[in-house]
Amino acid sequence: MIRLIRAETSRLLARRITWGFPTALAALIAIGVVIAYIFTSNGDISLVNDFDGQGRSEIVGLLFPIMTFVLGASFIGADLKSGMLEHLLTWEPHRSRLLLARLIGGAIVVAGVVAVLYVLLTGALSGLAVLRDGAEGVDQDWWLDVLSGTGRACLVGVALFAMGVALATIMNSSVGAIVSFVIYSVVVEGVLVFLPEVWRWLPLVNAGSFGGASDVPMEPLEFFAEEAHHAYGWSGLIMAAYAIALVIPAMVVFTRRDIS
Amino acid sequence: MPNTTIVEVQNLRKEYKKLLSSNRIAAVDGLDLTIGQPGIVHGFLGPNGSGKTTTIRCLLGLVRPTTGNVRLFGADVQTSFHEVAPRVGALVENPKMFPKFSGRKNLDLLAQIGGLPATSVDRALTIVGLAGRQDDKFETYSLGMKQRLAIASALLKDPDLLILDEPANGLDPAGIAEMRVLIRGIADQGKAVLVSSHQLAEIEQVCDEVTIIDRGRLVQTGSTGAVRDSAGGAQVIVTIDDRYGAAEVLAAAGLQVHWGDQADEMIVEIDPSLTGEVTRVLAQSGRFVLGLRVERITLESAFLTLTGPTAGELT
Repeated sequence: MIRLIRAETSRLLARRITWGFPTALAALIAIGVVIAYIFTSNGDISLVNDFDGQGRSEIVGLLFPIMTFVLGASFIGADLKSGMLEHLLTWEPHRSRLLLARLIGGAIVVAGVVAVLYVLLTGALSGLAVLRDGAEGVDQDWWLDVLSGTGRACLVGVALFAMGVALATIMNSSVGAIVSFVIYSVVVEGVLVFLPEVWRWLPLVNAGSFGGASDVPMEPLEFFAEEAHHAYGWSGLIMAAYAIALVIPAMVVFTRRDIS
Repeated sequence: MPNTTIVEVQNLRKEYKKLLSSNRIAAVDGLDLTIGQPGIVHGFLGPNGSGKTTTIRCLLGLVRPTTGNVRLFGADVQTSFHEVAPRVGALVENPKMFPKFSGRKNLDLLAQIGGLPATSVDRALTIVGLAGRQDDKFETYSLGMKQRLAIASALLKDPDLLILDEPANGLDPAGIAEMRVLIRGIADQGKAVLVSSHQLAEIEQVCDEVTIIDRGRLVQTGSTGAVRDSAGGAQVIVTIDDRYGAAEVLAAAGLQVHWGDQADEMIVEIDPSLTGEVTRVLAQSGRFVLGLRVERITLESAFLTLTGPTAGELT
């Protein structure tokens, strides 16, 4: 199993998208920081604070999940496109092991990539704040926040990676999985904003809540409101439940499907 | 090696559901296939779409049979393929590797999964003659090189059973000749080789046994010589101007006729000692043969005789 995980890890690391997508995201973050630097030249650092609060939450709760979902789904798609899956199965006939190794190996890589991006993001924002306002707030609590934020961002990334792998496996198509995810993100989660009872339980809402350490509000989109429906810790569990709920049927489908 | 049958397929049937239809089609229908001895090259022959690749996928546990039993080295493939997988090397259909990886890296990856040393990769690359191009990306390889790399991947495990699906695809004549030598050499080391092909002439020289299938069903199986003999052992080739009319006359006389390679040729299934009967029947209908020769039947001719439509069906 260890050998299989190592092989899957090295395979994911060798993919261009594994580096390309995070690099593009890092460039976006850099552009955002430069804009923030320009607009805070008058000494008003509220923009940096906004970026550090809502902006960070959206990056961790939306951009990171999109990135890791696409990485997961396309990882399966690469096998389907190259036809390598049937070849791999003549080496490792236990399909559940292969899928599990793929999830674990992918989780290791994705967690690493997300951690680096999160630290870059935090470092850039903090550097900007220090540049404009001094290093007064950088204390032990701040470092603990950075640490827990990194951990949460990694968990969100891993959960969405698993969902990407699972959905592409079930649909037998990475394109199908990614298109479904985009439609779901934009249409379904967008429309369900009008149904607060349902909205609070949606995967991306809870991913954003957990990643940004902001409790899920009573009313849609009012993050950081005083009254919360459930704490962000619960959001983490809800998100994990969604990931598991997709991985289990993916495992069943994958172990029973004809590979041809 | 324990004294068990290497490949044992009994009454294999695989059905697929037609898209947007409740109908099911049988890709393989009641097939039996056996390789009993090591050191044997077993040709698995049939036209495109005859069920060869589906059968091979069933052998490798990639596809579940609808009914029937598939065993490798005595192990039921559906439940215990993992027990025998280290003894089986396979190339299924087209060569499939990660396009962005080098040939070497593709093999390294498989060796890593199989817990094999790097020397096994060196050995396999040398055997297929790709050591000099091992660091080039797979996507830059020619089809023949891709095919050779895929064969190298099947050889990595130093398997007791090598399953090659259409290994001659994309190879030039020199490559095909090399592949024949390679296959024969592997069998001579005491390994069993199951090689599927629709290019019979390419593999006839190396096969000890053959199984011919058509439309998913077994047509003939046995030693290569016995299968040739079952199709007549020899064939009578008639050259004639009006081969359509001649075929009708011969068919009416109860003879089986197939088209030959040339536009004025036809192959008549008849004992070569009775060739006079052919000229007599044709002469009685006012047709005169331009040429007539007896040839020892090739596997390809046997294959066509056993699976192909007769001239009567074609006209």
